Amino acid sequence: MIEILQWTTLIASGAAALSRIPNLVRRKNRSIFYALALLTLAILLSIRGPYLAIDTLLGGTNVANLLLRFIIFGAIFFLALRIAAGFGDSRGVQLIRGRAGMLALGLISAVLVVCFVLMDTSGSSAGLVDVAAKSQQNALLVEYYGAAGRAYPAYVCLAILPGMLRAVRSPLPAMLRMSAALLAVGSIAIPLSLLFPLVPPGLGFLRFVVNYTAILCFVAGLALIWVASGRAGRKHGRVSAQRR
Amino acid sequence: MKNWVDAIDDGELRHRVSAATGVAPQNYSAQLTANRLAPELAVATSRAAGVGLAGGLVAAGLVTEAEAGWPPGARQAALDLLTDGELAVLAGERLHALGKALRRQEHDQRQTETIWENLG
Repeated sequence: MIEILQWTTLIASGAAALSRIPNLVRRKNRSIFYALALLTLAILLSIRGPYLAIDTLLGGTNVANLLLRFIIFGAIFFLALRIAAGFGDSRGVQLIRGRAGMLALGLISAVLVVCFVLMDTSGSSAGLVDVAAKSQQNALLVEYYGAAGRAYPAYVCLAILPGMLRAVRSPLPAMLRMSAALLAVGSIAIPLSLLFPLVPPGLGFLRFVVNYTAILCFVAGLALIWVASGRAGRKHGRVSAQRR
Repeated sequence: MKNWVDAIDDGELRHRVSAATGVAPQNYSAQLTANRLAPELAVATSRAAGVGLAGGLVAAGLVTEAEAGWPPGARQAALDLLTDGELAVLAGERLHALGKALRRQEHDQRQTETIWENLG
């Protein structure tokens, strides 16, 4: 079940990235393509099979997991910045790109790297499950490491959430409000992941559901804007053609 | 339709209509924003304002002025009774309302374009 969700998300994200190639060639909003490509790579790395294969290539010390965290940071940074700018949320942009955002990114990255270095990370293991099982100290470090990895995406999502909620209630076209709603759901789900350590082990599948649903919401919301923009572009084109 | 209600509204009209008909004020306002009013509400509004019962139906375009039993040219005559000053103020108010609506539309349009520029 979880595998289906993971691969569906991977395909959706990959398709969204591919659909951006024409715009990439036209040099229009290229950072969205790069962000979606990074996101696709991150999803690939979050699935057990590909993770083990790639990490083995990188030396089998779970460097792929650290790489995965920074890929997520990069993808979410560029995506959220574009989204906040698009919806005219200058406060959101400021929170992400301003001093507070850079401080959050720097601090969290430092914690991430320090935890990783302090761990005995040998032996590829998706989700660092086997690494945590090695010793008490490792288990604690994996916990902190995971929390740091979730903290930055949570910060960025909380930064853009007010803007999204405003857009949902605004008189924008229905399709754009719908996509704002999807993006808002994603921005609520990601910070919820901070509560994962409190989830009882029996409900561990909830972690996957929340994570991948959030990504699907983001991808679907962006795709919807893209569709709406394509439609409007055609409409505008027709009108100006008539005028000529 | 909205102009007609504004013209006969003494400030409490909407409350009286919604009390008399049981239609929620926001539903009433929504109809007015769309510049339409259900016939029964139009009649109830006329009754609550104490004006001719057919006035609302004429304003809604359901019956003509002649069908409502108004003397020919009644509307024109009523307008002629207004002074230039009153007419200018009335026109000013309507232009102001139109300007606000247009500005809101332009703002929404700009916002939509920003979204497409950044995310399209």
